[in-house]
Amino acid sequence: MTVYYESTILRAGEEAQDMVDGGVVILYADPIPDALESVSVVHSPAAKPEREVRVGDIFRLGDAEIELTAVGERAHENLQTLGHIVVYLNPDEGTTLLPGAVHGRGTVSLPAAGATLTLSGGSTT
Amino acid sequence: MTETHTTRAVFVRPGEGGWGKGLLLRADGKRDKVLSVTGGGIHPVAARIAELTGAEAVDGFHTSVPDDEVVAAVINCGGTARIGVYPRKGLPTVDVYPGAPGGPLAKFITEELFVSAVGVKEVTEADSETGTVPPKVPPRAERPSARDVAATVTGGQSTGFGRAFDSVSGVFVKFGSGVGSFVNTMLASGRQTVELTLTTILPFMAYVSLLLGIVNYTGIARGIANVLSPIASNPLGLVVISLVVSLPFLSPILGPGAAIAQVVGTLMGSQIAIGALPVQYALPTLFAINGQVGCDFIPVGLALGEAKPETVAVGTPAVLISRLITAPLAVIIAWGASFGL
Repeated sequence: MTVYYESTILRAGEEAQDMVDGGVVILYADPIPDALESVSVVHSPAAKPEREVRVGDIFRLGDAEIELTAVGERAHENLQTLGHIVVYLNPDEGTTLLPGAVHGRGTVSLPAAGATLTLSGGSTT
Repeated sequence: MTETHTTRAVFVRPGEGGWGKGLLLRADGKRDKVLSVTGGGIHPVAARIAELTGAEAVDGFHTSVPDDEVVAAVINCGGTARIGVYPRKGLPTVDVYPGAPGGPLAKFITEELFVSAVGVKEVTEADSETGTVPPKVPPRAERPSARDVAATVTGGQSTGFGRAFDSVSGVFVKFGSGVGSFVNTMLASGRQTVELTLTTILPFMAYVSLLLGIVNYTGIARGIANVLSPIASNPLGLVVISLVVSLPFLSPILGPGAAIAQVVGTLMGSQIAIGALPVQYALPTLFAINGQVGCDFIPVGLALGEAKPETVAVGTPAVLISRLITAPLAVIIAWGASFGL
C-alpha cells in the first residue's frame, strides 16, 4: 500500500456535518467559493495525486478508513484540478454512481481541523 | 469592472445529451458577474456568456461574489456538490458537462435554474425585449435541510413499516444482484474461453500442423535421427544428442512429430530389450531424446498466460537457450541416477 495523495483538513462548512450524517462527504481544496464551503470539508493537499483513483484504494479521513468500491469517471480529474472528491458511504444497492463521485464502505465522522486525509493503494504505476 | 451595462440577454440551450430547457440570462444593474466555478480559470462558456451579456466573468475559486451580483454560475460538475449548491441559492446554473439532477441536492436542480452539456456554441444572443422573471427560491425555512436530502440519497431514514418493507425488498435486491453477478461472471468466463480458443489455440494448432507437414515432408527430423542414432550407444553420445535436439534453431521444428524420439527411442529400446545395451541407458536416453519437447509451444504458452508481446519476444529465446543448458544436465543427472539398476 502506497500513499499517493496526502492532505490536511482545514475546516468544515456548517452543513458538512449534515452531509456526513447523511453519508456524503464533499471535499474541496482551498480556495473555495463560499457557496460550496457550506456543504464541504475544505483541505489543503500537499501535492497533486501521483496516480488515478482506483477501486479498492483506501481513503483515510482522520481515524476513519474507507475502502472504495466504485470510482466515477471524472473523480480523478476533479481531484487533480480542484482537490474535489465526493465520497458516498455505504450507498444502497443500485445507487447510481455519479461521474464525480466515489462509493466506499466504512463510517466517517466529521474530521477536525488539522486531521490528515490520505488516499493509498497499490503501486503507483 | 465595466460600468457599461447593456442589458443584452443570452439564451443558453442544453447541448447534445444535456438536461433542461435552456436559460435566459441577462445582466442588469448590480447583477453583472458570471461566476466560473470550473477550476483552471475562466471557462470559455463563462467568458462567452459574459461577453454577450456585457457582464464580467469571475473565477469563483479565487473571488467571492455576493449572490445578488451573479448572472449565472458556470460549473463542470461530476454530479454532487456544485450542481446543487448554486441552484439551491437560486442562481441560474450552467453545467458544461451533460449532468442531470442527482446527488443530495437534486431537488433544487430545476428546469428554471439548470441547463447542462453547454458548449460555447449553445450560448446565443436572445431577444432582449422578453423580460425574465428571476426564479423564485423557497425561503430558508421551507427548504429541506441538507441532512434530509443527503439521507434520501444513501437511504438513511425510514421508520416502522417503511423500514420493514425496505429490509424485505433489500433482501430481494441483494438476491437479484447476486444472481446477476453470478450470471455475468459465467458469461464473461465463457466469452473469454471462446476468445482464447479462437485467437490463440486454433492458430497454434494450424501452425503446428504446418510445421508437422514441413518436418514430415522434408524428412529433416528423420534424417537427424538417423545421423544421431549410432552415437546413442554411449553416454557421451547421449549428451551430444540432447545438445543437438535442444539447439535453439532446431528444437522448435523437432518438437512436432517427435521423429527423434521415435527413431532413437525405438532403436535404443530394442537394443536394451535384446541385451545389447545395459538397462542403465534407458533413463538417460529418455532425457536425451526429449530435449526439444515443448519448445514449439513456448510462444503459445506465454500467450495463453496473457503475456504481452514484448514478454513473448524475450521469453521464447530465454526458454530455448535455457533448454540448451538443462537438457545435457538432465541426461547427466539421469545417468548418475541409473547406477545400480
